[in-house]
Amino acid sequence: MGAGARVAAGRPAPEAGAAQPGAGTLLDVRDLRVGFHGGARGVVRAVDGVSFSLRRGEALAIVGESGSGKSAMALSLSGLTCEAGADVQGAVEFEGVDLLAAGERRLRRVRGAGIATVFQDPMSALNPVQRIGAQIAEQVLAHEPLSKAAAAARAVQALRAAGVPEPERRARSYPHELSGGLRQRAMIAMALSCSPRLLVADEPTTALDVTVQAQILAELARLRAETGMAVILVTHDLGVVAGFADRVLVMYCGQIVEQGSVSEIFEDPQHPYTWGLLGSIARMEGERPRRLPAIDGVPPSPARPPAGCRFHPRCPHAMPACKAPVELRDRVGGGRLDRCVLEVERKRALRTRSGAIGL
Amino acid sequence: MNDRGALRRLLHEPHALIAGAVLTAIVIACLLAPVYAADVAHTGPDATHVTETIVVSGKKVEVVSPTGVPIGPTWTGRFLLGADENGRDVAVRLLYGGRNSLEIAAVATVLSIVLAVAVALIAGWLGGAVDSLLCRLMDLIWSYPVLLLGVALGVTLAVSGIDLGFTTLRGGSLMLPALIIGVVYVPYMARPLRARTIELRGREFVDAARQQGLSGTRIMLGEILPNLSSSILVFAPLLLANAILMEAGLSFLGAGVQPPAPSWGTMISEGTRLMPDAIHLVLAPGLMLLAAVVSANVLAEAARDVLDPRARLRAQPTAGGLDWVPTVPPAPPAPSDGEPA
Repeated sequence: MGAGARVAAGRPAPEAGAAQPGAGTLLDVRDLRVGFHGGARGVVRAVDGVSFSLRRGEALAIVGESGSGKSAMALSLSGLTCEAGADVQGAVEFEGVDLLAAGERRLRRVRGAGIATVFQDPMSALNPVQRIGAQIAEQVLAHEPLSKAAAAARAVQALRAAGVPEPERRARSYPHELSGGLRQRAMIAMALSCSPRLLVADEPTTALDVTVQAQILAELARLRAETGMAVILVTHDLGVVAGFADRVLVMYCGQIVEQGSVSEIFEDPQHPYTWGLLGSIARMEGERPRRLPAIDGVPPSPARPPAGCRFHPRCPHAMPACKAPVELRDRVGGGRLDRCVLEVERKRALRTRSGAIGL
Repeated sequence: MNDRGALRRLLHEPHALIAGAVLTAIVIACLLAPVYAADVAHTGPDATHVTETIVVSGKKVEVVSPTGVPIGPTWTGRFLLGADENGRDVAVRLLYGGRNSLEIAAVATVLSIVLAVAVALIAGWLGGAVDSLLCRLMDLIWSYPVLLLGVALGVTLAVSGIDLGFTTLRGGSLMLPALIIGVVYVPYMARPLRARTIELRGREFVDAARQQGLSGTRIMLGEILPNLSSSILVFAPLLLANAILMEAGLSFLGAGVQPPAPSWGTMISEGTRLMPDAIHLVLAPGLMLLAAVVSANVLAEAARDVLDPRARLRAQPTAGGLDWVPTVPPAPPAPSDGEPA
C-alpha cells in the first residue's frame, strides 16, 4: 500500500543496519505521547515522545522495566489507549494511514487484520464463556466475507498453524480447559487468523513457565519466517530478545534511551541503563555471584520524571551534564541512537564488570 | 463455566430437583385444566351450580347451603376442593386461575429480563450520559414501593387500557398486569447486570476483542452478553417467583386480573369474604401460590450455588423475595481501568 508516501522531515533517521534496503516502511511512529489522567498527580506521561519506524517483516523488540511505558506504547499503536480515556498525541502511521487520526471504522479494519495483538495473559484475554474456535472465527467474520463454516475451518487451520495439537478438538474447547501454553498458542492462532502484516506481542511469555516460554518464542519466530509479517515484541527480558529480534528499542520512563541492532545492543551498549539490564541477566558461565546484579533504586514516577537524563538519579556514572536534557541521537555512527552524554571510549571502560557488561 | 456441567450439577442437588419437579407439576396441571374440567369435574371455570345438589358418600348435599356457605372439599371428582359462594368448582378454578397467574408471571419475567438486559448492556457499555439517564430512570421506578406502583398503574390502566402503538391492551386483558409487573421489576435485574457489564468492559478479553477489530455491538452481544448468562439464569426463577406473588397481590387488590376471570390472587380475594365458614376458598389458592413461589425461590438459590459456588458463603438471606440479589463473581484486579481516576 502507500508505504512510500512518508516524509521524513525534521526528525532523526531511524533506519538501523538490520533492515534490508527497499523493504518498505510498514509502521512509522512519530513523537508518540500517551498520558493518563492521574487525578491529583496530574497527567502521567506513560509514553513521552517516542519515534521509530518498522520495516515490513522486521522483528523489533521493545525492552524496559515495568512502568517504562512499553505496554502503553504497544497498545497505543492500534488506538486502544485512546478508548481507555488516555490522552494520545503524535502520529502512528500504518501502511500510510495515521491510525491516531483515523475514524472508528477505519481503525476496526486495521485491528485484527493489519495489526494483530498477542496479550500477556491469555487467560484474561480470551473470553471465558466462548469456545476457542468461535472466538477466532468471530474475528475472521469481522474482516472477511466468509460463511460461518469457512470461518470455523479457518479457525482450525490457524490453530494448526500455531502448533496446537488436535486443532479440531481444541477449537471446541473453552479457554479454561487448555493449559497455559496452549492458551497462548490459541491467542497466537487468533492473531494470525487474518494474516496480519504486523503482530504486536505484549510480553507474550511472561505468564508462562520457562520451558513453554521457549516453545512460544520459537513458534513466533517460525511463524514470522513463514508469513513474512513484522513483529513487535514487548518484553522486560533481554534474554528473550537475543534470539528473536533484528532491532531493539530500550525504553526507560516513557522514552527511548537506546536503539540499535541486536548485536549492537548486546556487544556495544551505549546507555548505562542498557548495561544494567544486560548485567542483570543470569549467566551460566563464569563465577556465580552471590546475588544477581540489579540496578539500584526504582524507576521514577512518570508523573514527575527527573529533569535531564531520566536515568541519572540511578546512574553511578552521572555527572552534572546529565541534569540537562539529553537528546536521542547518533553518537557512535552507523545509525544507532542513544541518550547518554558520556564519551564513547569512556563508556567502553566503565561498563566492563569482571569480563562482562554491567553497570 | 460449562452450561451442561452446571445443569448436571443442578440435577444433583436434591432440593433443586424437588423444587423443579413441583414447579413442573404445577405447570403441567394448569395446562391440563380443560381436560380436568371436561373429563373429571364435568364443569367449567365459570359455570355456577348454586341451586344444585350432589351426592357425597351416599348423602345428598347442597352445593351452596341456604345460608350461603359453599360445600367444602369432597375429595371426589366433582367439587374436589369444594365450591365457592357462586357454586363454582374450586379445583377447576384453581387450575384455570393458575394458567392465568403463571401466564402473567412468565410473560412478566421474560419482559423484565429482556428490558433489563437491554438497559444493562446499553448503560454499562456506553456509559456517560446514556448510562446516567438510564440509571436515573431505574432509580425513578425503584423509588416507588413495587406494590404501590403496581397498584397505581393497575388501577389506572384497568379502566383505560393502554395503546402500545403496535397493539392495544384493553382493560380486562391479562397482558396488562403482565406488562405492569414486567416493568416494575426491571431495575432489580438491570442494576446488578449493569454493574457486571461495567466490570466486564474493563476486562482484558474485551480489549482483545476490540483489538481483533470487532464492532461495539458485536462485543456487546458476542462477548459481554454470554458472560451475563449465569446471572440471568439465577435471576429468572427469582423474578418468576416475585412475578407470581406480585400478580396475586395486584389481583387481590383488584388491580390485576379482573373478575370473573380466575387467578390465584382473585380467588384469595373472593375467598376472604367467607373465611371463617369456608377456609378452603383461601387455603387452596394460597397453598398453590406458596408451592409455586417457594419452589421457584429454591430453584433460584440452587442455580446460584451451582453457577457461583462462592456465593453460598457470602449470601445472607433476609426476609422477602428480592432482598437478596444474586451476587456476581468478585471483580478481578482490573489492570487497565477504562475510566480516568
